[in-house]
Amino acid sequence: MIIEVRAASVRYQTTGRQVLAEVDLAVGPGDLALVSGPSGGGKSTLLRLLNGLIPHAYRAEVTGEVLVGGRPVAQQSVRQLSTTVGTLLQDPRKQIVGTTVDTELAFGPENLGLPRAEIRRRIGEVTDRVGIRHLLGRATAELSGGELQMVAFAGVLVMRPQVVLVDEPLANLDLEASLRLMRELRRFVDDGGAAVVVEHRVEEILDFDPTQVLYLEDGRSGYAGDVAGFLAAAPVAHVKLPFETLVARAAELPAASGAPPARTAAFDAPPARTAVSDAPSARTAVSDAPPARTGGPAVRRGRGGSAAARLEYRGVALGYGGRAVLDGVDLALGAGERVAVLGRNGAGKSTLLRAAVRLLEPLRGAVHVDGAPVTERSTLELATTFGYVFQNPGQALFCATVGDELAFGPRNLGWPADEIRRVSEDALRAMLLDGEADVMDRSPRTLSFGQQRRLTVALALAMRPRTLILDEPTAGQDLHATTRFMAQVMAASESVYFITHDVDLALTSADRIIVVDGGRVVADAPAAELARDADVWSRAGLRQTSLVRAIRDHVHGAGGIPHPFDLARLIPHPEGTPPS
Amino acid sequence: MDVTPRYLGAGSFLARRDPRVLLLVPVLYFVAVANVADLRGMLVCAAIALVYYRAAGIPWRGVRANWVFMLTFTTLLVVVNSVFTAADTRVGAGEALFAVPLTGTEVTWATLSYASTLLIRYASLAMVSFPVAFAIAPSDLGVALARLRLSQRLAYGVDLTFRFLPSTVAALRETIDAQRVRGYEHSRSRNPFRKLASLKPVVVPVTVNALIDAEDTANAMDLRGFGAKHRTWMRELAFGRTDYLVMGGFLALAAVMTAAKFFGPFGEVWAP
Repeated sequence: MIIEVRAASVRYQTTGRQVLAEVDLAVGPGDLALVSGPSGGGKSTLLRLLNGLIPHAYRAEVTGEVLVGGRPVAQQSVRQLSTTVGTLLQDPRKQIVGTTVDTELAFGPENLGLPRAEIRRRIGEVTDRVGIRHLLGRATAELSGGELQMVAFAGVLVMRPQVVLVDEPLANLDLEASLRLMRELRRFVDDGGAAVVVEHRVEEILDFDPTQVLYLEDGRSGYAGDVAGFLAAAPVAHVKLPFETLVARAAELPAASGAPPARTAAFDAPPARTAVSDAPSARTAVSDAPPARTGGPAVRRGRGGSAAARLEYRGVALGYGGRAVLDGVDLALGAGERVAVLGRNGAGKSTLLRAAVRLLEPLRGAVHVDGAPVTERSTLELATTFGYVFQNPGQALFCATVGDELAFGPRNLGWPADEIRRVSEDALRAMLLDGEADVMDRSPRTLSFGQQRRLTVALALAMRPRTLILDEPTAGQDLHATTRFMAQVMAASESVYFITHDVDLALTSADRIIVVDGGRVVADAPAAELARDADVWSRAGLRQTSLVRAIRDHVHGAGGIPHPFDLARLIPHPEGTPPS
Repeated sequence: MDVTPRYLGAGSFLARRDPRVLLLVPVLYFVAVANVADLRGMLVCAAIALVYYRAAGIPWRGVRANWVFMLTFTTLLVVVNSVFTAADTRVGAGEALFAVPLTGTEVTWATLSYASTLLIRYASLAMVSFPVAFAIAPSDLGVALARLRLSQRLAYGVDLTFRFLPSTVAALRETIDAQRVRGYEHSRSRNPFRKLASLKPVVVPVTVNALIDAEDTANAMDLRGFGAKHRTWMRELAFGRTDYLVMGGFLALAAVMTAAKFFGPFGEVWAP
């Protein structure tokens, strides 16, 4: 075995909190271990334990046995461990230290003091293996997210580790790029290496045949064993399981509480099989929406939940420094719609919606808000129409207390103190943060990451916007946190436009999906219609998840999509188990 | 704001030199001109600096703004320090040409000669220093400093600065946008304290996030074996004959100018 963990427990000395308790793991050559579980379950701590950051970089009490290469981790330096254990961080931008791809790949072997000829040989070998030879000589600052991920992986492989630890490979990238990384990782394992992958998006990882699964919850091992056993035992509300598994376990699926409120006929229909197929749409607006315009030359203009368009693009080109990222955009987003914007990294998803609040001006064409040109209003004035929430909560938080943080926006709008207090309390209540003890007087940075994310939505809500715009609202969050968060967001605002690369989230949370790719809006359709358009998925680099396939096979109406649990209950199990 | 390191002199005579030459020449030139008080001697040095600067092949368009800033700043500095404040020129007062309004300071030929010497000294120092910024490949700077016996960590720190400068600026822009949608606007107040305080919504998140990210990056570096006393630098540096000639030339200039201070005419301010 390369890694042997026996009854390991970890308690951080700084917080006094026990984050791992009695965990076992054994990984040998040819093993691909999947470590899953909800956020805060101890997954990252386990990785730190395996690569030696605990106890060498983090002060923590460790009990039990942690052996790497047959020797206790505590008796090896992090540098010694680096030749056995390679670690790929969640965000490659933090991992890459070289200004060029060449210097990045040389970094590890240079630290080992290897001769230059050997370093050159290893770089040549690894770039051929991972297929990034064409990137040699390029500046790392110019690489795309997917290219960065592959360079970071090559930078790990060049150290010739026996096992590679990968932290949430699917969290930050579009799936196409992530899956390419996973394919290379699988090849590394097939060639005699080993890998430990931490990821809560189980479905995508299952395609790479993990040999074992460890499910961590509250620091404890909830399951350890093979994939089949895991699929039978995993808590369905906390792990994103393949749709086929949901169908097989339909009888034990909980009610879809916590999910965004239903807006579909199929969802509202009685649980009979006929309700799924040919289900009419309950929402006139949705059923009235024009047929999917996927890649055709016609003007792409959808219709919102209400007759009025909240946000309208008329022949718009958007970009930076004169270079267009998106061109020929004709869209009208309704005042009551839930719209998801899908697309691969760098396709222009954020660019599209930032024009709504004048964070960038169109190169051509005009953007209208509530029927008037957006140029008639400042970014501050637009804050009462659009509450724009950025991906990273840390970018917004700067005040000493939550109360001050909430008051910042309304104060800029010139609202009186009692009004500010009222909207702050309302916003906290809407995002279910009012239950936290003395929350108004707490430092925002002392909240958990999930709470900080909800707080940033509350900061936007405190300015009383009519529409929320969310940029990657659930990136890196587990299924339970995602479901709860989206339900709160949907309930808190008249309409929501959100950017995501999570296909299933878009399908289950939005009435309408817009796909951007290659500088254009290539699809604009109700979710169910889009799911049935096989062409758009392959062209736009989007993954057809098991939910997409299920919708294509079983949902035939034009409206929205029922919650996956409800859909699974309505589909007969292939082995004949009757639906519940 | 583009903060990507600008390798404007790529392929030039100086860019082909060992980067240590480009780092050492400004030091030698500083030693040379520090001893020159005579305008004529300074003009000789400046001519050499100009030839050196031209050898860096830095396009004027790329550095025009840098030169405008540099010359504006140094001209102000020189005028205030040598004309307005009647700097000690160490020669007789001479005939007053005119008096500065308000201060009443009398300006002589010696004053103007001293001011010109100072201005040319700063400008020529900039000429030999610009190639450090624009004619050394960014990826060579760390290894050059390491080979000049700077600590490995410090030398790699320079490389890291270049690596993370663009992403830090991107984070800054993103933070400004995140605060703009909450109504943040940079203060137009003339009160510097109020102006500084108004930066808080941007500076605090950028700093806190940079510190958090730095911890991840430090961990990632440790996990790839960084921190050992001895490391290989992939980039090989070796002085060539031309490198020695350039270095020798500037070494000779420093020696000659130092000798001239003690034995020749260049140690005093020249008054025509």
